Amino acid sequence: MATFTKIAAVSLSSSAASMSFSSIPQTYTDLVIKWTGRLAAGGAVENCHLTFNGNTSSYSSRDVGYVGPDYGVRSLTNQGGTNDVFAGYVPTSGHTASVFGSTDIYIPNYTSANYKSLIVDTISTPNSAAILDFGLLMSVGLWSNTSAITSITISSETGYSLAAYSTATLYGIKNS
Amino acid sequence: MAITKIKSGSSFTSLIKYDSFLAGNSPYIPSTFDLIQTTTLSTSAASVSFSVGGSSYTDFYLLVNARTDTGSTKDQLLIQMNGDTTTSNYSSGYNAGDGTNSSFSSLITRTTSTAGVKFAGLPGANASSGSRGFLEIDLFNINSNYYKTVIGRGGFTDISGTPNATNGAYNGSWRSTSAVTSLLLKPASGGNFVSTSTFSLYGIRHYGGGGF
Repeated sequence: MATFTKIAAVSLSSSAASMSFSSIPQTYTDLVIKWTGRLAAGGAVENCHLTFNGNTSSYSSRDVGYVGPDYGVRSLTNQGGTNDVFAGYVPTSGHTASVFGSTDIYIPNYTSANYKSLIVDTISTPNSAAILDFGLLMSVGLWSNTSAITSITISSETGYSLAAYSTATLYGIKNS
Repeated sequence: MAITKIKSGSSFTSLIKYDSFLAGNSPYIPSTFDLIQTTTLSTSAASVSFSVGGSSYTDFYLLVNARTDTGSTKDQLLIQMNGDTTTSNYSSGYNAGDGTNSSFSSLITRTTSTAGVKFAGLPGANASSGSRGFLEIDLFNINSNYYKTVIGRGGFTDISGTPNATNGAYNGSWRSTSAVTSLLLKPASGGNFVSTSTFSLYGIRHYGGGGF
């Protein structure tokens, strides 16, 4: 029987540089992260990224979606370099108050000896006609590393802190 | 004759008394998300099949993490149902970005040239080594007497100097009122899935099962 099990959860009571999961059990098949976030500084919306095992090389991301109004339709844009992989699009302190972005990340076969794929679905939407920045993106990512994933860290691409009440939950899916 | 009194000293008086008919046991809660089958290829294969005849599930959830050996950077996944090879019984559409087309591509017209529902998003042999595509696919109401709908999303990126990638959302339908009893997955190119590609089929059961 397959299982979908909560492994760990992080909820920020105050702003912090990142949210992390460490010592991830190696007993599942796939990982799912569902997280909501906001940055404590910045413009209207910003990218967040994640790294595996503290590693800062051999990543690639490509997204499709819409980031408005400044960027419009985006197709296969790389939301980061090779030092990390895109992990979501979140509002900042410059965005409508109390609005958080929502992101869903699926990482299959995280313990395998193959390179690690992931898909990211993210949305950040204002709740005010005065703020037009809106992001809806689907991203595919790759970590060209054969190591099993034992830790994951989510943080802002621009170095801003994650705001209080940002939360992330890690789930394990077992296919046996 | 009704029981009106238990005699003092009876062995019944030493038993634990419960207020619930469960008598301390955990309730049985039917599972709603089950693994049906996982296949991890130990060698390359032209196809992967799932036989699910007579299933009590409402929907299927299929996860594919794979690569093909086709002589191209990209390939697509084809899903054929119940061995039906009639191309006009299938249609597919997508909203996706593709590595050879910098603009956001969409196709909303019916594609009927393939004997199966088609999803882009698998790397071929010419994508950088080690990259794998990942597709999440939902098949709804698999036991219904309506045409079957399928949606999916995912794709791949590699890490070459000018990365090859496909990423998007996909849909399709199988024009049959029959219950889905088998799935055949194969590369649309006619090539093979490479070794270590994985395919996991889960069943999702609504309360009461069966769907409509």
